[in-house]
Amino acid sequence: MIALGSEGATEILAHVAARTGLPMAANVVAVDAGDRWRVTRQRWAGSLLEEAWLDGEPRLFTVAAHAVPALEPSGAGQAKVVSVGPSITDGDLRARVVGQDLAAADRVSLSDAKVVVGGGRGMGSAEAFAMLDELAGLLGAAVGVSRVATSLGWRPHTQQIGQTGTRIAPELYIACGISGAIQHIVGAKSAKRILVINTDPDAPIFRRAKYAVIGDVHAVVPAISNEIRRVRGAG
Amino acid sequence: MSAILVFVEMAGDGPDRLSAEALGLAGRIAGTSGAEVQAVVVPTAADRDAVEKLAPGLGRYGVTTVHLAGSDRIASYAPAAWGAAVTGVVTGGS
Repeated sequence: MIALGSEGATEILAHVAARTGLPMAANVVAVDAGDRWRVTRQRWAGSLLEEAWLDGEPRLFTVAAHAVPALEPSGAGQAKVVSVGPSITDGDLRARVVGQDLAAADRVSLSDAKVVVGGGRGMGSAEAFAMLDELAGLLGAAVGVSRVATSLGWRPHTQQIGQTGTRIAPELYIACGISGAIQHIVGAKSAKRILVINTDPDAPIFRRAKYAVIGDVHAVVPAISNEIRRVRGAG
Repeated sequence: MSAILVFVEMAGDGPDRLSAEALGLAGRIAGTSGAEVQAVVVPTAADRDAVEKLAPGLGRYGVTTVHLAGSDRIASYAPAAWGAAVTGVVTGGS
C-alpha cells in the first residue's frame, strides 16, 4: 500500500497502520522489493537517507514529495472501477474539515505549482507582499515565504517553504528578498530554476540561482509585473 | 497475482502530481515483482460522480483496478473516516 507524499495522505496512512496494527514507513524514495523489503527514506527534510527493513503484509509507506519522477500518462488503457461502501462511524467524523477560507494566492497549490513566487525578510513588511500576490496572479503562480516572514506574522505558516514547511518543485522559483538559510533551501532544492532578486550579492541563495537580479525587490517586482502586462496588452 | 495498492488523489482530469509520483514508484516496483498496480480513491459525496467518470482514466497510469471508497457520510476531509475507507480496501472488509 503506497500513499502519496502529502501531509493529508500521510495522516490517512497512519490511520490505516493504527487500525491494522501494521508498520508504516514515511517519505520513502526507493524500494528493494526482495524477500524482505528494504526501503530508503528521507529523514531530516532529506538531509539524511535512512535504509530500513519494512515488514508486514501488506507493507505501508508514503513516497517523499518530489523525490521521484511523476509518472506521465500513456496509451489508452482503461482501469476497471469497483465501488466499495466503507463503514464510517460517528467517531470517524469527529475531526473533519468544516470550511476553507482560501486567499487568492492559495488557490494554486504550493506543492504542485509550476511557478512559485517567494518572499522573505527583504520584503520589509506584510503590506509589501501585495506585489508578490500580484505577480503570482499574473503568472498563475503560488506564493511561498521564508520562515522569517511567518515568524514576523506577515504571512500564514501554510505558505512557508522549507524544512518545517512545504517542499516545492516548480519549473521556476522566484525568490524575493530571501537570504537562503539552509532550512529554506532544503524545501526549494527540487526547483528546476531559481530566479533570485536580492540587494545583497553575498546572500547564500545566489549560489543556487540560475538567474540573479541584484536589486531592490520593491522596484524589480513591480517592474516585472508591469512588463508582463505590457507584453500581454501588446499581444 | 499480487497487487500494489496506491492511494490516489484526483486533480482536474487525472491524479494530482504527488499521486503521479506515487504511481511512478509503484510502477517500478510492479515491473520487478510482477504485481499489478491498483488504486484507491476516496471521493467526497459531492465529487463521487465526477471521480467515477474519471477513474477509468487511471488506466493510462498503469492502474488495472480503481477502488472507489466513497460514502454519503464523507462530505469533506476527515482523517479517521478516510483512514477507515482505505483500511476497508486494504483488508478487503469494506
